[in-house]
Amino acid sequence: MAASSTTPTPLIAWNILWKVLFISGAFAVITVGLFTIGLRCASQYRSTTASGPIRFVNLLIAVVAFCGIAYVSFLGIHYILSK
Amino acid sequence: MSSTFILILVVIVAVGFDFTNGFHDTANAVAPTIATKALKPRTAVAMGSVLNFVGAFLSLKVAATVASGIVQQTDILQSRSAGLAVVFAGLVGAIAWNITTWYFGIPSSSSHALIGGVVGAMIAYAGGSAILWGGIIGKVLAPSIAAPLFAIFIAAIATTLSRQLTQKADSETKSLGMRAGQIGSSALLSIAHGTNDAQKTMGVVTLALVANGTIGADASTPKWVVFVCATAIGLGTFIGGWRIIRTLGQGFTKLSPTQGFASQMTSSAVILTSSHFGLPLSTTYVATGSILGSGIGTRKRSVRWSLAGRVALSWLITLPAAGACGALAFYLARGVGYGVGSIITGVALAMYATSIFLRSRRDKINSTNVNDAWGAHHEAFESTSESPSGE
Repeated sequence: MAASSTTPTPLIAWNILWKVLFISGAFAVITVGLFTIGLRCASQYRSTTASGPIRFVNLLIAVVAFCGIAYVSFLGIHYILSK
Repeated sequence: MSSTFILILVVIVAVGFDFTNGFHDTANAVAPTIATKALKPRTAVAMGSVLNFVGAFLSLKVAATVASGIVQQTDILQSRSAGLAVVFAGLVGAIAWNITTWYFGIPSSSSHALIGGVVGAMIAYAGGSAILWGGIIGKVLAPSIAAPLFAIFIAAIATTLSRQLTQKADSETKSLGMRAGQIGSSALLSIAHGTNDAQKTMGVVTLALVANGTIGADASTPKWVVFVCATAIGLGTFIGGWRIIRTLGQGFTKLSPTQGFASQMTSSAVILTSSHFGLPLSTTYVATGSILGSGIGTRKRSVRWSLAGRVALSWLITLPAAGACGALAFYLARGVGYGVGSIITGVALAMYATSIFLRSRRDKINSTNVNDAWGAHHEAFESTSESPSGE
């Protein structure tokens, strides 16, 4: 006769708490990081002292960073709604 | 008096609680936006109101946790009238505590007030054995300790990162960009709040409907409950809990747009992720933790810890205090019969709420003075001589 293999449910769902910490931490740091990188590059792009190529690279990075935020936000919202 | 009449009373009081939850927690989403003047106070509150309403429709996972994980539903189902009176008294206790903390401008948890109220009333009705203590520890106490710590930690990292990365940016672009970012993050946070908090009342109304036998124990939350709760929290948010907005926006630290953005993104991330896992976190604790973390993330680490300590103390007593109010309300309701007793309890609550409201008008805080320097209104409440600076 097969023995019952029920595992007692832990009182505190540590696995969920850790997931919340890591996922939310990653989401916050990535979005804030991308946003500030975008801002910094946008600021460099607007700078009158920077040369043409540098301004172009900064513009490119800023666009990529802001698009990255949009993508991460989309993923985040999709993640929340996917249940 | 029929149990249906008590059920109607319960739904009315539940909607009332959701309304107080809205104005009590408006600050969670909009306080940094208002403090840094990214949006005008009224505009910020109106935006928060609409998005709280929208957010309430996004998920029902937390509602299920609240309805099933805190008290033994079988005990509530023993007697319809008594079961409904328990839910009613719990809501009364939660509203009483919410109004009291709002008056003092303390950002305490509406969710814990609700859970405390229901637990207190349930103990008064059926004793401690009717409480799922494992659920209280695992789903309420542990997350309530973890939530602000997570938020402090993540917000401190996000603020430091943000500060370091924008050191060389020109102040005009930085300020403009951060304010725009704050509006976006505030919107996200409002949705997160609606998603997380409206569900708690939905859970309680569902519990009352189960107790009355209107729906089965395994039934999902009815659509009308979702709509009514979403409307109530949206309207409550629109009223704007200015006293708490002031504490969160001006009390803990002098917020800069960079800090505001980082703290709001952190709060949104933590609340939305916890909603995804059905963990009923306190949005207030998360928002407060994020603001504290953003203060720690500044170069001067400027935080008014004395105020933070007092707020933490109020968090410790929220569950027992709301529980005591809930138990008192239940004894009052049972003393004169559940039907009439519930009416008397409701009237007593209305009188208490009115007296607090009238008292608050002596020291009025609204959209015009919410950003006044800290100390102008609460000198007795805060006596630190620190002068925190933004970055």
